[in-house]
Amino acid sequence: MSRYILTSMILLQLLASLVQSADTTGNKHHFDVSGSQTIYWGAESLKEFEESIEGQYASIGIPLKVVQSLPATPSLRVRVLRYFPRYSAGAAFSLSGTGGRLHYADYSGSATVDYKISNNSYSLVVRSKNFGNSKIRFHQANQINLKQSVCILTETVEVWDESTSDKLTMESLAYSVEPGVEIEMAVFDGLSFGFYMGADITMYADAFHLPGNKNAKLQFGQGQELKPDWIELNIGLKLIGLSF
Amino acid sequence: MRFTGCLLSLLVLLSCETNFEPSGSNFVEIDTTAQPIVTVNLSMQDTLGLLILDDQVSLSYELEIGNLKLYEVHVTLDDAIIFTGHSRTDNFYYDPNDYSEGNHTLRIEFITSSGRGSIADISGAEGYQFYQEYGILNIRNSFPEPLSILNAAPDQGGLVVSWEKYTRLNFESYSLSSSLPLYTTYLPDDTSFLDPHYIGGEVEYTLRVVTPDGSPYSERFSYQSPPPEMIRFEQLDENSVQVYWSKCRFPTNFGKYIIGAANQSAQYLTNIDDTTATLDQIPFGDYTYVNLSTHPKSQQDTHEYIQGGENLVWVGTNTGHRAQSAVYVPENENLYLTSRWVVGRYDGDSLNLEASYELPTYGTIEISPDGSHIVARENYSISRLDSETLQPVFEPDLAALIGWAPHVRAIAVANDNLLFFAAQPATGPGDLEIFALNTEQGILLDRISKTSPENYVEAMECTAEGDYVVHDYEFLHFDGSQFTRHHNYYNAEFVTFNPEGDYFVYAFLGEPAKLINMATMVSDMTLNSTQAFSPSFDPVTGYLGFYSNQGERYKIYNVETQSTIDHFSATLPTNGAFTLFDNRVISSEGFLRDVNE
Repeated sequence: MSRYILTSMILLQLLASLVQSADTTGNKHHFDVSGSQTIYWGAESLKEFEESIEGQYASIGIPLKVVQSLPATPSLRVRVLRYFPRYSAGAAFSLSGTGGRLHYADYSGSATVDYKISNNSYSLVVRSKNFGNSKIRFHQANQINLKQSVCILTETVEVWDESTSDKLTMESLAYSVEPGVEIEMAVFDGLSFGFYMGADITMYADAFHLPGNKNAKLQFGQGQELKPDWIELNIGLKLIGLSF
Repeated sequence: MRFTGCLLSLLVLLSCETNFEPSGSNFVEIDTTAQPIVTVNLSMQDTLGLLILDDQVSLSYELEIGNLKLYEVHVTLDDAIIFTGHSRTDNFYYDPNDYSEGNHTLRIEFITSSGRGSIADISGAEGYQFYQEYGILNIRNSFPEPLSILNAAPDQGGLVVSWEKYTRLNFESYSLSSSLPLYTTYLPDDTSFLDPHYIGGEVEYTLRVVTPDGSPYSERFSYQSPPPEMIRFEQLDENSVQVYWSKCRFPTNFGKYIIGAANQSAQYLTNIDDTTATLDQIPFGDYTYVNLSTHPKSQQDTHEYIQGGENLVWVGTNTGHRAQSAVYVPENENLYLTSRWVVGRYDGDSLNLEASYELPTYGTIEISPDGSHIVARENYSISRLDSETLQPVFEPDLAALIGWAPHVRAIAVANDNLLFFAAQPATGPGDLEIFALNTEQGILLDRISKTSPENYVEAMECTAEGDYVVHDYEFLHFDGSQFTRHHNYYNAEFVTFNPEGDYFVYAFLGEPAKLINMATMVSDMTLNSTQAFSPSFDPVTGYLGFYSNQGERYKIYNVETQSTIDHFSATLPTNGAFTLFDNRVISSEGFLRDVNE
């Protein structure tokens, strides 16, 4: 319920910004590109999925271990905003990718389970009016993200000089909200850079399923489903900000 | 300008790589030096330390491989897989008929996991291949072949039989059978056998190979070694002989000799070098059988022995001339011996044959007591023989003389060419008649019909001078020209006239022999209440000789003094006779001995 309340608040904030007049400074639009380091929290279904894979391999005698699981990865975000008197609002598109590995190797071969997750997020953004002076401005920004995730699961067993590999591609659709703060520093008129930090909280996510067939879900354990249900903490650098 | 910058910035940044590539490893060190220990148990028939396969044999195996995972088991015979399994224990049937007979190698081979726990081990890409071979395997799918006895030869004082070794497997034993004596012995693994029983003679050995699939016989192998046999004998005295025989050639097996004459106690000689023995109480008159048998040491108490052949000994002189009757002529020392249809004239001293004659057909030859008148009788004719040459010199025409063709049944020959004969018509029924004939002149002197009962129609006797003749029960007097009936009680079969013709011996069956006076035709004397056989009078001494079955002795008796001159052990040959002449006795078998007065 709280996720809907939060989402509703951001939508109201966004609606309020649209009905206000333009920025009185003269610039009407803002464009920026950010590079972030994304840290993943949570991801309970993914943890269970990894444990399930470990268990399956353990049952046949291979002590597979998780050697990598959702490491912090860089992400990119592009945002276009329109200035309003009290808010800025616009849209954003971001790219991110993460994944993990379960692995076992000895003198005779190896067993590897890799999963790669790539996320495309389409966002609506509302950002509060800046606080500060003409050099440094602080913003509070909220986003509603429609996240399209693709998970590629690759299972490879290599014995001596022969190997077999299975590859499974799945996809999921989720939406999340991401409240955050920004620090924007003006270089000269119309050009700025700054910092950004936000927490991407998933509100709803589909289970990963085969492309085009939502019913063909990946299940493991006792009917558990794998979902992109983690929380992302994005700590980023606003590389370029253009106001015009 | 700013819009263009925005687009350029966007394109540059979007081109930055954001794909994620998993990384990291988990390498585990595994000990590869440990070697697993496995054992294999294969259960099959095992004979002579080798594995044997037979028809429809069940083979079972058991593998102890610990925690290793068994992938596959192969049992091969040479290079051919005869069984494939996947269990640690299993059994299967095998038919060796599918393979050629001979030696093969049985191998059990199995593949297991390595047990190291490596991913190759788990995936089955790594493992151990174990195998165990079971030496030479003989497949036997044909009937066992018979062996051949190679040799039998004297050795170690016995007879050693040897044969080739049976090289095929499934052998159980040899079985050697002997025919002398008949016995069978089972030999586990020998290829030679010292026969403990063989002491000589002809023996046949048969060897069998005993196997579970049958026991074929070898060809018979014959061996012969002369057994101990009587070589010769010497007469020691009137009734004993010394016999000699060959020594047994198999001292190890020798047990004893047993020698004895018929109806006498046997002698047992256990020394192999004792090859002579004295046999007493050998009767005169016929051959005496001597039994020589040799017994093996192993079977002395049984009846198994080797017979040394039938050996004949005798006492007296073996003249070699059969003599059913003898006529001795002292004047010229001629001895005529007749035996049925053969007659011979011999020198009385040397017994050399000087003349002989044999009738061409069945008949009899009779000789007068003085030897001057010899007549041969055939069924339908009569011939007079020359007393020197013994060749026929005259054959009277009997049909012309008596009026019909006769069937001559009996003759009696007297001195002076006087012949009596009994005949009946050769064709058709007719009564017997008795005729008197002068064979020199061919004149029929008289004839008389036979009126007595017929019993021994071929028996006819007459006195030397021909004054009495008896045929069957017809006792006649003949005065030289005419018959008169004299008596009809005594049968010619049992009548023997003395040379003078004044009495005769009547030796009727089952009764004591009697001397009958011709004048009175009654008995003057009975011969010691004994039954007499083959009585004869010595034409020289007048003694009466006869064989008494009471004590089986031959006795020479002086009728005048009624005393016994001599007597000795004797045996009367079957259907034979003794004849006493010139103080000598000759038997129908040709044995001659002197009378001891």
